[in-house]
Amino acid sequence: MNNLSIRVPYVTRVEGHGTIAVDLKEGKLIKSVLEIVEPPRYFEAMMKGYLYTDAAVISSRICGICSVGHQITSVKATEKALAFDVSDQTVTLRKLLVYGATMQSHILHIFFLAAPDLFSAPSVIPLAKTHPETIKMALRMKRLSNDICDIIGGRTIHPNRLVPGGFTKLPTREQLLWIKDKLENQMVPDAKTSFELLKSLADKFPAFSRETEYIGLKTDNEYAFYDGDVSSTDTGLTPEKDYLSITNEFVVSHSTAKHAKHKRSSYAVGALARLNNNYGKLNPLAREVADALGMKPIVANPFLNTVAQLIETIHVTEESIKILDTLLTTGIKAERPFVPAKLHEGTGVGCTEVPRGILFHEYTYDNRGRIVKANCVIPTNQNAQNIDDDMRELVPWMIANNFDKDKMTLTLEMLVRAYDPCISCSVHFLDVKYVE
Amino acid sequence: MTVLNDTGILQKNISIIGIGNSFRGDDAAGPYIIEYLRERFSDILGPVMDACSINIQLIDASHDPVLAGSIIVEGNPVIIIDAAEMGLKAGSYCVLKISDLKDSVSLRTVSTHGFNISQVLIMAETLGFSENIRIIGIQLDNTGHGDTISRKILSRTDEIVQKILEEVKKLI
Repeated sequence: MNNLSIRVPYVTRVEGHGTIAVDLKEGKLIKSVLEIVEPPRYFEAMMKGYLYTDAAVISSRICGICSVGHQITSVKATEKALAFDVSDQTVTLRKLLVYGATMQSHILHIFFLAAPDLFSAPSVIPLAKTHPETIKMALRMKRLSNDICDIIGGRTIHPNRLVPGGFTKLPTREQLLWIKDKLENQMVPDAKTSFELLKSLADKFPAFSRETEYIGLKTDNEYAFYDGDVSSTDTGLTPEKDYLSITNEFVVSHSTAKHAKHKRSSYAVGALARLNNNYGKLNPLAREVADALGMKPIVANPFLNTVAQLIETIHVTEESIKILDTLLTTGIKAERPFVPAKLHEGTGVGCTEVPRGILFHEYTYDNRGRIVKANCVIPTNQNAQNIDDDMRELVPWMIANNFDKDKMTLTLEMLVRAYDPCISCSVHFLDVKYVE
Repeated sequence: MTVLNDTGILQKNISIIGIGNSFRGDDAAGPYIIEYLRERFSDILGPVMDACSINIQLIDASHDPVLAGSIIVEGNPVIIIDAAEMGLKAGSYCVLKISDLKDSVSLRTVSTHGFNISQVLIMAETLGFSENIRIIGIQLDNTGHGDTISRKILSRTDEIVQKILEEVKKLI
């Protein structure tokens, strides 16, 4: 195959709008990019002048899918900037909220966005006919993860109990007991069934590999989601306050979303990057599943991000049960959010592992607690250049393996979907185009 | 969403689910009705719950239609309230069944995401959950940016609430 043109305008089963464009002329790859076509949304500029109490409320509106991650990262940045004290209980409850949001997003992606490709179905709707018990299970899992966010955050989307300094309302013991029971007796069995399902579909993932730099949070005592240093599989640890030395955002002509690079031309964030950095901290069942699925670092097949998401779903389920055991033993202490005696100028960085990867928020406040400067670096932006770099190697790999044009198109779409991109976030960002 | 009260978990019987983006004009009609009922829960829904010995959950599913699907497959009756383009006068409303979504070429639900409530409902029907589902479609006027709902919809709130109560009683 010497000449090829592929255009997938509006890639389906991703959040937002993007286009895959591939041009091969006389055997030379001219273009292989993910064009992001949504207009920029200027959230950082919008936040200027607002009070510290508004930052998380506004920034969470960057995305309905990622609202929990934006809120938590935002309050953490604000607390650092204004030197808020936060209780251990607040941190513990926030972790539970992050885990609930991670389950919710991963389950949606695995079963509703990625699974149709593995079953050669155009969408999840035909799967409801051919695999009804699987879809019912997925809906059951998603409901529980929604309920966790609801109980801890007050709402399943755009939680309203999470504020700088703590929570405005705390969950009851009965609610925590209910979550624990559901996790142990519903989520764990469903997660095991999901593992068997993905294991049976292992040969459906393209056997393509391209090692890149994997970046994610890392800490000594747990598989890092809530805090830690920024870890690169190439360069080791960097403190979160120095995140700009990692992200190095830049603009490209084919995308309204910024791209990012560090040691190499691109890097990856997300479930696979986290797994490659945190494999040793997996909880027992998640570790067993990872090993059974051959997911030992360095895993360099980007399509296996979906498998990493299932491993993480199991890990955060186990971690949530541990947290609930602790909370149920110590009891929930009645406490109000920290209120500062006096506001002062300050700059703070918050970073959290949200479902699609590491998310950074940075705010500078004046002495009245108003935002002077804001910066948000989104996981999908950080993955954008890595997707382009994957596509640049994937196209020749597919040609060498005699893929026809339809199979190439589907595989390119699968690649983009594997990253679970959130385009709305990235333009704070799919369609495939080929030129023959 | 109000799956839970302060003392624990409400027994689930009938779920009323609002779908829509609160910052896209009339797309917020579903969440608006849920908030309206929530603020008047004891006055409007309390008597129905007492008289019929049922529990009613109010759920703002915002722009997460899959959440609605996850509630439907629990098997309890569900009423979904969603802004829709039905080619009617703004503020008009219709009670629909899932079959209407497939049969009517003129009805197109509005979603800001690729996976919309129509797809979720058709998936639910395929899974065998269709009998106890009612959809109240509210004809929208404007889906521009902003949190203002058209007066043509607001002025019919009480009528829409009465229709919801009628459907609750039918589903018991």
